[in-house]
Amino acid sequence: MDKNFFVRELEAHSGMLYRVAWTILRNDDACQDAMQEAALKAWEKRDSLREARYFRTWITRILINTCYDTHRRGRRVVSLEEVPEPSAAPPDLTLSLALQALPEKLRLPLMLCYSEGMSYEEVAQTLRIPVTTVRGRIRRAKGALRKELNAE
Amino acid sequence: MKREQTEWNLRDAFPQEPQACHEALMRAAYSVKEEKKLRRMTWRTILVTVLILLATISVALAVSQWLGWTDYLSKQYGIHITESMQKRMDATEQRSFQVGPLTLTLRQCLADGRIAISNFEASTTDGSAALYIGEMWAFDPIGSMGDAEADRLGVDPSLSWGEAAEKLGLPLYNVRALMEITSSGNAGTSMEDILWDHEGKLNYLNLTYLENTQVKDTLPVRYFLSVSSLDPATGETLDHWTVEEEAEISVLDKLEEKSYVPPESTSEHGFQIEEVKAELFETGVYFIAKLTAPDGMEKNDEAVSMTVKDENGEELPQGVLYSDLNVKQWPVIYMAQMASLEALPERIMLDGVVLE
Repeated sequence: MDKNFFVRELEAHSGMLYRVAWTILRNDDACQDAMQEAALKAWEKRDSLREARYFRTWITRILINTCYDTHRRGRRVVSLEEVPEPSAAPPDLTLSLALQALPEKLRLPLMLCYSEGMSYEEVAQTLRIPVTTVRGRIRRAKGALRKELNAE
Repeated sequence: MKREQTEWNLRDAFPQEPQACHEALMRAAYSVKEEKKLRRMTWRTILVTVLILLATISVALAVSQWLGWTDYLSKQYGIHITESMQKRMDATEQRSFQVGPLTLTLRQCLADGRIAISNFEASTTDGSAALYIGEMWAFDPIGSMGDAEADRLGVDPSLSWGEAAEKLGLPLYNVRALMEITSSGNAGTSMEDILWDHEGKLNYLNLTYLENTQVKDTLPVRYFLSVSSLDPATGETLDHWTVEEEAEISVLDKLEEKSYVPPESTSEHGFQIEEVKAELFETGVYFIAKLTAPDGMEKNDEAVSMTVKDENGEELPQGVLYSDLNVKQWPVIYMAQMASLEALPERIMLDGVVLE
């Protein structure tokens, strides 16, 4: 992978990376740090990208790891009870809050699939779980999201 | 695989990417240097504390007992199964299978017509120490095993499974243990997950949704048990063993059934509740409802964001199976929901309407 390709791909996937980071961290400052750190880590580990066509799932996986690293280090940890207001409100705040209320195991596959348009196979590759598990979790996630929206 | 449509535009759940985030990302991207490629092994010297989203969790119990569905469901999803279901699972006839150097023991197994679940425990037959994983990318250089397992093993959490096995001088086995539903009773959706107990034994959990109209008193299954021995240094498969066995498991009987009288008037959101019935199993209660959407309502199951509640409008305890909505025959809607209840409620509430 050369630098031109790397820069071009990050430019193209910047929005997606922000949304993935925000799904986990829910804080713009933390997202900014995580995205920056993930980009640097990705370059360090660029040999691990086996084929260019897997860049999206590869960089997403690195970012998810980085976000959890942020949680683990206790840096800018945000509890569910104190979700800060983002700098710009999402278009559908009700949907946003309902999504954030889901368990993480359900929230991430759902957003990767239905917000970012990943296939079940891509979600499986990103999250390192079997495709059948992706299918099952998304089904479960949709039921849970309906329940959350009903409770609003 | 074609994805089904969803009723929400999930993109609307996210704020617009701030310019600062985009600029920070691109600053990092432009700052990298195309130096000589790092050797694959050098990353091990980099102290990178990375957490990975695991498809597996690790739970250490204070007492010596194997883990199973109860632990998994309660810790992951806050679901508490019925006592009857627990008893049934505890009564599973234990069966052990020799798969290469490992013994895989069927610890829990049951089916109720809508779900079939199993739990296999894996460990070495001779009792020797080993590391067990159920992951597909055990040697991903950005991966790690997570804090709990790293603590148990006494290694840095940034190590991959392969590196931990190499450091500890332990063999590394990749396990997959399924109870496959081989008949038309398979509804086509399943999930797999793993737990480690405090001794490091692996518990492989498998759940399959069933097509209840196709399930009879017994269910044909196939146990698919796979073990691979991996080279911790290279990730190559050193050896591989598979055991498959056809079997038949009993399906739990429906204990009781109740049909709730549909209201004459429409519900709070204008739906005509055509039919609601409840089926009691030892695993809990399944509520099955048929509704018709009001005229003019678009085919959009966001509008059907309802669940069966108790007569006071309180949520019922969540069952193993999450609610399922079928709008393929819009305006007719079929809804299925499971609750961890030991008895059929006399009265329930659906979309603001009390039914009994």
